[in-house]
Amino acid sequence: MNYFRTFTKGLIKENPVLVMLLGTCPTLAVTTLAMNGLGMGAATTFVLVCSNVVISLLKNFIPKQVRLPSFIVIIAGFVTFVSFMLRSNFPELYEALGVFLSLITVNCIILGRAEMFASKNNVCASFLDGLGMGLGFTLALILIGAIREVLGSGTFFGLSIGDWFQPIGFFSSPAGGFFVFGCVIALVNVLSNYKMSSKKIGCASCPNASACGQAEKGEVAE
Amino acid sequence: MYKEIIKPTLVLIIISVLVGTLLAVTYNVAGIADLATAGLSQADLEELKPSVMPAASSLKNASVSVEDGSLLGVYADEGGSGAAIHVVTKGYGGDLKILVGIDANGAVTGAAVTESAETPNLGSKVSEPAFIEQFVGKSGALAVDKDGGEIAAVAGATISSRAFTDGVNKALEIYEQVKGEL
Repeated sequence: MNYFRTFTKGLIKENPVLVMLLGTCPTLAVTTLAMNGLGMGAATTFVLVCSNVVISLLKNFIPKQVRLPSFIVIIAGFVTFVSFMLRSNFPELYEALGVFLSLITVNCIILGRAEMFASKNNVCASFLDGLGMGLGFTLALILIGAIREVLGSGTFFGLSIGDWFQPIGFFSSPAGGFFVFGCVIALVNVLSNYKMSSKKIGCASCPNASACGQAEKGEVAE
Repeated sequence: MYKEIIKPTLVLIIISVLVGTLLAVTYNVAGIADLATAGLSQADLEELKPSVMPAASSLKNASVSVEDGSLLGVYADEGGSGAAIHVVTKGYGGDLKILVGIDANGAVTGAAVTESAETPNLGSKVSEPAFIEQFVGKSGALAVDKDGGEIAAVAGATISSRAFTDGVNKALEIYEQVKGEL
């Protein structure tokens, strides 16, 4: 197991938002401002790292019949902890993230990493995996948030970029979110030289294939 | 039997109880219960005072006999210059809570949004000074320009502007009813 690769794969190559397309709902919802993207990313990263470590520690203790409910209880515990902390220390961010903070619980990135990685790997690798995936999520959210904030409200992290720019309200709206999201995915695909046609469509070409372990058994679609 | 049914059940119970206990402890340590029930804290009032009632010496929670669904609280100035009325109105995205400062003559001294779910960068602009300054010194029934009034609505956010104006009107109305008790 190459620890460095475990950490860096989440940043671009297996980026949870831009390559695996997980966690799209909070991505579109909170990225009207770069600051919200950063807050959401940081909260998710914290939950992801903590739940990955705890689940990795408990992987031999949890019987496989109840692994999903156990994972969800642990994840929900950390999410509730984060929302308590934000509520008492950063009320403005708490207000801005709103319901999407509690919905980190059902963010498929977190359960996905728990099920595919943390429950099969040691604590150190799980920690790095969680950190890498969390940072990849955060970077994607900041990028989308910054683009939408600059174009949609003419500010960057709350600082005005000048009066010469007339903000385009469309980018603050949900439709603008989809538009920016699509453009960023396209950009990442260009940068990572992702070629759809180079592999057969099926389990083996999935970005999760290396962690899944079932990829060889999967069927190739016609 | 043990491996298939009892052990998984026990493990899930242990994890749930453990997580629940830890959260209960955190809940109390972080003081979340106080945050949920309290109105505006003294610290909030100090922070809001310059924009709501710059002339007031100190705002203190006052109990009044008026029952009104949109009234959240009355904070009277100890110096007697008036009171700040905390009201909730229906905005575009949900509840819009505003604190309106009113002087002894029944004129608005200032206002601040304390909670809002308005569209970011559109309706949320009603909480900016450029919009709120229009209300300073006004009294009586106010209305936005679209309804023939004197308040210039935020461009593209008539509903939020109207909600804010309704809130100020409500506060002025409540002030007239409660000023005898302060």
